[in-house]
Amino acid sequence: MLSLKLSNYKIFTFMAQNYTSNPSHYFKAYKSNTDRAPKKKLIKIKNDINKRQLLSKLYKNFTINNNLLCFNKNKKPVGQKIVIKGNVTDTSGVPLKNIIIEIWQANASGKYRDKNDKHDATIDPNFYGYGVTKTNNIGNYKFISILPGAYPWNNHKNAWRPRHIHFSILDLNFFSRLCTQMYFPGDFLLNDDPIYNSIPKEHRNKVIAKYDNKKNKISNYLTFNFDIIL
Amino acid sequence: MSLYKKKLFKTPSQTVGPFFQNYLKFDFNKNISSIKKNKIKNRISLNLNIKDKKNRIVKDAFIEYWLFYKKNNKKIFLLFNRIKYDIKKKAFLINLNEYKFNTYLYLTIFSRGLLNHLHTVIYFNDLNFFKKDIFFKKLPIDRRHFMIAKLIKFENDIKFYKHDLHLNGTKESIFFYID
Ligand SMILES: [Fe+2]
Repeated sequence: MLSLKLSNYKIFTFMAQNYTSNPSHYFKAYKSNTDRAPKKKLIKIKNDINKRQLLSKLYKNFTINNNLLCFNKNKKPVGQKIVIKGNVTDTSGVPLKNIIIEIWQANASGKYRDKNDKHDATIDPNFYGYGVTKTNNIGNYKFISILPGAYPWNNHKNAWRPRHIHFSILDLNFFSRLCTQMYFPGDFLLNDDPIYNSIPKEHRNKVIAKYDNKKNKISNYLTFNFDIIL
Repeated sequence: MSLYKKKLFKTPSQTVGPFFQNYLKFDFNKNISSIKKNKIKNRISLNLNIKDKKNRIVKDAFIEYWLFYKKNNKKIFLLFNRIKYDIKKKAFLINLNEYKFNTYLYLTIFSRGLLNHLHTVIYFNDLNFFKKDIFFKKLPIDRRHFMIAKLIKFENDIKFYKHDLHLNGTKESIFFYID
């Protein structure tokens, strides 16, 4: 009996070590993935970089003062005003300070400032769509923006991307580098979105922000909470 | 190691999509290179292309590189940069102002179509140190030559290299995951 239990435990730890919340590299339903995802087995490397070494050099690269996604405070973009806030921790739950977070998003009509964005929608002259900030001493960050619109894309017939904000999170160590997308609760487009559905089912809720207006200190803003674990 | 140590799952990765070009910050080291230009004799210019399964050039991608060299088997970090596809030069251009004989690059690749970013390493074919590098020796013999950039010319103290990264197909580069 004892040996059986031990062997069960071994299997369990083995699974835990190899199990990830990330999508697999290859996901058929996402069309542009087919010719780009590597097919060969990836090789494991160890995280052996000294974080402190990287710290000072990395910061010189960023002017981290822009958590407002409009051009300036006096310009008023179209759309519902939102606050996105959250906490960044490691996998043990320890808050991470000085993490560089960049976000970019479409405007309220679902249009990016990009000549390759062929969506027949209007560019909002008062909306920029990029912000950069870093987490404070207790791992918190905040952005002020507007609710991004959903937009159509060519993946399959009548495909629409759910409303989302792109996140780029740069730790002082490239081993915990993360690019992801934050989605909004209750979005009916999530069900049919192959990018969102590429995430293992039990981990999909980790990329959906929580509507959190109770603690909101600024009036007239919808507040969303999006915690990040690196 | 505690059996009961709480371990949370990481926030899952998603693709960067095609529309990052006008938003993210790029080319952090431009200023540094112009200031130091005159003092530096040994420079590297790597002309890099990313190719898909059908050998088509991938343009809607960006690269981050972390330059290291090894000193007594310890990694020493030199610089970080993020670059996008250079339409005029038809490549991702990596310009290094300082290198040592044992320089190599850690690359992270982000692209439309990639649900997770990819890690890889590039060595330089005339900087022979890779032949002795413990890490290089561990790579699969049949594919490790895909990780070495070729020296094309040497002009005005600049070494020009060329290299293709294959995301998929018969020449698929070696990619890593981190543990
Ligand atoms: Fe997007």
